Amino acid sequence: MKEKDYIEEIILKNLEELNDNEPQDGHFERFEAKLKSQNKKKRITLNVVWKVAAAVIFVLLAVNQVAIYMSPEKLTTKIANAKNDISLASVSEEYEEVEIYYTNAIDAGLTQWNTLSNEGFISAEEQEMMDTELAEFETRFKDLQEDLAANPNDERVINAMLEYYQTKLGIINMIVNKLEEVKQQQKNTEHEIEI
Amino acid sequence: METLYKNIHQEIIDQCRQGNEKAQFQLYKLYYKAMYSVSVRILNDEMEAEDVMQEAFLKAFKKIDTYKGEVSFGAWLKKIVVNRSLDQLKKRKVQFEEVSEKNSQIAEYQMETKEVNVNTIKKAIQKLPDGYRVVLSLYLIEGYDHDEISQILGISNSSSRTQLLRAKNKLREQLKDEEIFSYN
Repeated sequence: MKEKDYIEEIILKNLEELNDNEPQDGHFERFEAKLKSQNKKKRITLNVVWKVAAAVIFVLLAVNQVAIYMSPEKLTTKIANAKNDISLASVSEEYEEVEIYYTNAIDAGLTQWNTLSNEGFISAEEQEMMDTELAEFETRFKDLQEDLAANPNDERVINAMLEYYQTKLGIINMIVNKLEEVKQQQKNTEHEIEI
Repeated sequence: METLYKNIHQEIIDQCRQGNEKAQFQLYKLYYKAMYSVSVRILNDEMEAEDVMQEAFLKAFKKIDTYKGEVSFGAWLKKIVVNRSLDQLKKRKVQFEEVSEKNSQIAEYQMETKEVNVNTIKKAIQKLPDGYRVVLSLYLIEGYDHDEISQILGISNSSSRTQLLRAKNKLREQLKDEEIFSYN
C-alpha cells in the first residue's frame, strides 16, 4: 500500500495520552454516591422480596388455618343438611355418635314393625295408632330442632333431644317386643292345636 | 498487555463479584480514565460522558457474573461503555449517514510525520462531526474493524470506510491549520 498513514501514526503514538482524560472534579464523590445507592437499593429490594415472600407464606398459612377451622363445621352442617335438619350432630361429635346410635336403633325397630305388618300381624287399627304416634314424635322433633337452632349449646335442649330419642326408641322397642311376644304365643297355640 | 490486565486485577474483580463496595470503588479508580476517554470521544460532552461512564460501571458490577474472562476485563468494560455511549448519542437523534460508493473516492493527503501535541489531536478530534468522530475513534483508538463498526452503528461496511477516510482528511486539514497557526 502506501506509506504509513500520518494520522494513524500520530494517534497510535499518543494512544496512552488519548486515553488519559480526567473527568471533572468531584467525579469520585459522585460515583461513590451512585455506588452506595445501587448497593443499598439491591439490599432493600432483597429485603422487600423476603418480606413479600414472608407475607405470602403467612397469608397461605392463615387461609389454611381458616379452612381447617371451617371444615369440621362445614362437614357437620353437611351431615345435618343431608338429613335436612339441624340436630344433635351440629353440637358435637360425641352427640353425633349418640344420635346415630338412636336413629339406627329406631330404624331397626321400625323395620321390625314393618315386617310384622307385612306378615299381616298388625291390624289397620294398630297401624293407624302407630302412625299417629310417629307423627306426634315428628312434630315433637321439629319443635326440638327449632329450639336447638335458636340455642345451639343449651344443655336443656340437648337433654330434651336425648330424652326424645330415648323415649321414641323405648316405645318402639316396647311395642315391637310385645308384638313379637304375641306372635310367639300365637305360634305356640297354633302348634298345640295342630297336635 | 490485555491479558496481563486480567491477571493483575483478578483479585479485585473477584471481590467485586461478591459485591464488595470497596473493591468496586478500587476498580473504578483503575479504569475510569480509559473508560471516560472512550465515552467523551463518542459523546463530546464532559458531563454526559462522566454520567454514562459511571452508569456503565454500575451496570458492569450488576452483571459481573456474565464476565467469564474470555477477554480482558478492560475490553469487556469498554464494550459496555461504547454501547451505552452510542445509545446516549442516538438519543440526540444523531444519524450515522450512509455515504454512497461514488462519492467515496477521496484522495488521501500525504504528509510527513511530525510531532504533534496530544491536546492538539484531542481538540481536532472534538471538532469532527459526530459521525466522523465516532467512526474514527472506534477504528483508530478502540480498535474495532469496519465490520464491527457497521454492525454497531447500523451502517454499511463501505460507508464506515468512507467516513473513516473523510475523518482522517478533515483531521489532517485541522492539524495542518493548527501547525500554521502555531508557527505564526
